[in-house]
Amino acid sequence: MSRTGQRESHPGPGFHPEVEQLSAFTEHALDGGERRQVLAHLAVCGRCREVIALAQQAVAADEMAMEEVELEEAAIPAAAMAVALPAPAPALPAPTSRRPSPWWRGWRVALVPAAALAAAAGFAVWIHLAGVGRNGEVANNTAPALSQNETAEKPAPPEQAKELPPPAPAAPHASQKLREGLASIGAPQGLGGAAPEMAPPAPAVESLQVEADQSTSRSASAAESVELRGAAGSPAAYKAAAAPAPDQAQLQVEPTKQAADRDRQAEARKAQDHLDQLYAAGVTQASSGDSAKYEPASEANAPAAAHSDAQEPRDKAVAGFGAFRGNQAYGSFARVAIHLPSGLDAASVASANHRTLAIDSGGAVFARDDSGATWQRVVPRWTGRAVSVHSLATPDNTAVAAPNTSPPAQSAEAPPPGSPSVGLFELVNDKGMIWLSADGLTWSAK
Amino acid sequence: MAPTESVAAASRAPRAGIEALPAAIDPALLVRLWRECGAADWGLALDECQGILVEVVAASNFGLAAGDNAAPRQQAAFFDALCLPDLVLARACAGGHERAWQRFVGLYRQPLLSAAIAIAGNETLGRDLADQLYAELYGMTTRDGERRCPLASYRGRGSLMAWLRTTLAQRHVDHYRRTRREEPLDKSDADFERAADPDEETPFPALGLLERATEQALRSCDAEERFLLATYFLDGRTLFEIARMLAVHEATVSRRLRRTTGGIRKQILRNLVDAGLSRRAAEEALSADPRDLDLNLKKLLQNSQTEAFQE
Repeated sequence: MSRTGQRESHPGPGFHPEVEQLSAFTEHALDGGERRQVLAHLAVCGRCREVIALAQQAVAADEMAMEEVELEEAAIPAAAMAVALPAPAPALPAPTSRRPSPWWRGWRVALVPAAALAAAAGFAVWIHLAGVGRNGEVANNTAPALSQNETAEKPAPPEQAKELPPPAPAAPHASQKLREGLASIGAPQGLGGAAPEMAPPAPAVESLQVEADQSTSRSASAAESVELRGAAGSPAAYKAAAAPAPDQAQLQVEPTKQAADRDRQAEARKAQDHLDQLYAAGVTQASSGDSAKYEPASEANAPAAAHSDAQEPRDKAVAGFGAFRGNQAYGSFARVAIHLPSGLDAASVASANHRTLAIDSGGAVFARDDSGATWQRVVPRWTGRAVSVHSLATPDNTAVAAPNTSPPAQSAEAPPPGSPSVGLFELVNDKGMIWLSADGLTWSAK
Repeated sequence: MAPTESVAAASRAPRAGIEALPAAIDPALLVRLWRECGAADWGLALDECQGILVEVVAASNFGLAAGDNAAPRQQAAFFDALCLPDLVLARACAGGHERAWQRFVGLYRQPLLSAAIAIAGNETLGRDLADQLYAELYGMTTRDGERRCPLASYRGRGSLMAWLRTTLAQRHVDHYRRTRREEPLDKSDADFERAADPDEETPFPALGLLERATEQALRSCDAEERFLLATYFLDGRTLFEIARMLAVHEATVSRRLRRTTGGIRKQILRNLVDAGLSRRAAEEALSADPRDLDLNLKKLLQNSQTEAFQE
């Protein structure tokens, strides 16, 4: 401490901290005791407080100027500095304190949203591929069951063959899937009268086949509560189910799978018969006016009507089966486009033992083989118009028998199964007479 | 003289002088300090550096009590606590070393001008202030026939730049206060004098008690609380400026201010109760209009006697 040399500014005797003490105070370089002394003086000395404040102000100005210089140096590109500054030796590189950053450094901010976008796109592609794989699996399970029977026995016409998807491998272990499907939905309840409204989350083909079994067993006895469920009941799923699966078709040619494919084809053939019977039962019920159970949907509101006309009749048949939905009126059964030679719509259809019979609205009866594209007119032995035709075939000789299934209601009044003398088809004319046939071509009165 | 030659010569030569001086510096430490302070770069010989350091040590005895002998370790700690390059440069300039002045001008010319402009708030005044200080530093002023340089008072505590800033601020404040005294009193000062007229009677007798209680409460504050009160309420500094002065955060300053004012209020209440007022009457007295009080807080805060410095 010393008497300051500014006596002219302080007339009276005054002692102030030395300049060095004040400067050390501004730099916080004083020890505790000395700092308290200076602080106590500052509390009562406005002059020294002002000196300290001004010194701090100068420090702040210096810091601000340095920050501005640093910002300017950062803002000016190195190239501009090299141009602006006179370079004594042009060959030498310009002295720059900052290395030029790579061009991609400027995109660093955009990397995060780009990565997020790429992740979202990848996720969407993954979901799409997963959906395609699932649909391919469905098509894999359904297409062979419909196509291989016909392609094996009769070659399809060229125009139809073009539209047909390439043959995919047969449905893998249809009987096992049937059992699994029955187990998943609960066989006793599913075969009984009270079917649940909502289908369990089972694979589409499994539920289709299981429910086809159920409906087959009930179709002869008016099939009160048949539930046919498509792939989640949606037309898009039907399309996907009927879509060709080229990758799977390529697998068919592998020699290691040929034996398994033959087994699958046999099972698929049985399943096809089953489906045909089910289809025939659905048409019969629809034509008999039981709209509370099977209401044929119009072309306008049926989900299958959304199909393009280029789709195959076979696809439409699958879609029609898939469109069955219990007692629900919405699009319950799609009208199947069967082009009979008479030009009329089919009023009743039945199928058994690879043969399909159809009665048009005029009462004429037509028959065809499964893979046959043309219908053969059946010579009537009855008088009047044929009204309906039923299949008397049982699961034993049509499709794979489902275990734990109750015997169908029709078996009580139908003749014993498997007896060719009795026949597989039953026809009713408009006079109520019943005619039986074993092959659908020759008929005898019951 | 080349630095290596000077070092070799100085390492031999000063030994006799060092042994003769009462505040002897360890020779090895001296050579290390001479090298570290960079004095050889601008032409200061070792013996010249030794003379400067001996002068510094003679004034402080290495920070020890007078008569104590400092061990080499204590000497090293003492010098390490100083800004030795700045100290040697300042003392060399004060001694008239030409190359030291060249270095000083090269290092501090522009920063000094910038600081002067920042302090004066005006470039013209700032340049005048810087030039005036330059002339003073160069020893243009003489006292008793002796050339005096303010740099000789710098002892290496804090940086030389901070010392220069503080010196500039001091010169500027002194100049301002000197010129302000020549100005006529403005209206506010006249009002202040009139308000501080002690002949006026206080309207309520309780106000006299309140004035005395306030004076006692303010006198009971410690140095930092009084500094905070004076800086914030009298000087009108912001919390940020006060925080920079004290090297604390603004929130700390705000909290201390709130605590200080709350403590003063409680102390005033206690003083009033001790003076004979009831608690309720003391509360009512505290709610009086401050303009009715015959209190000059500026005088109360700044006329307090401190043990360190006296204004």
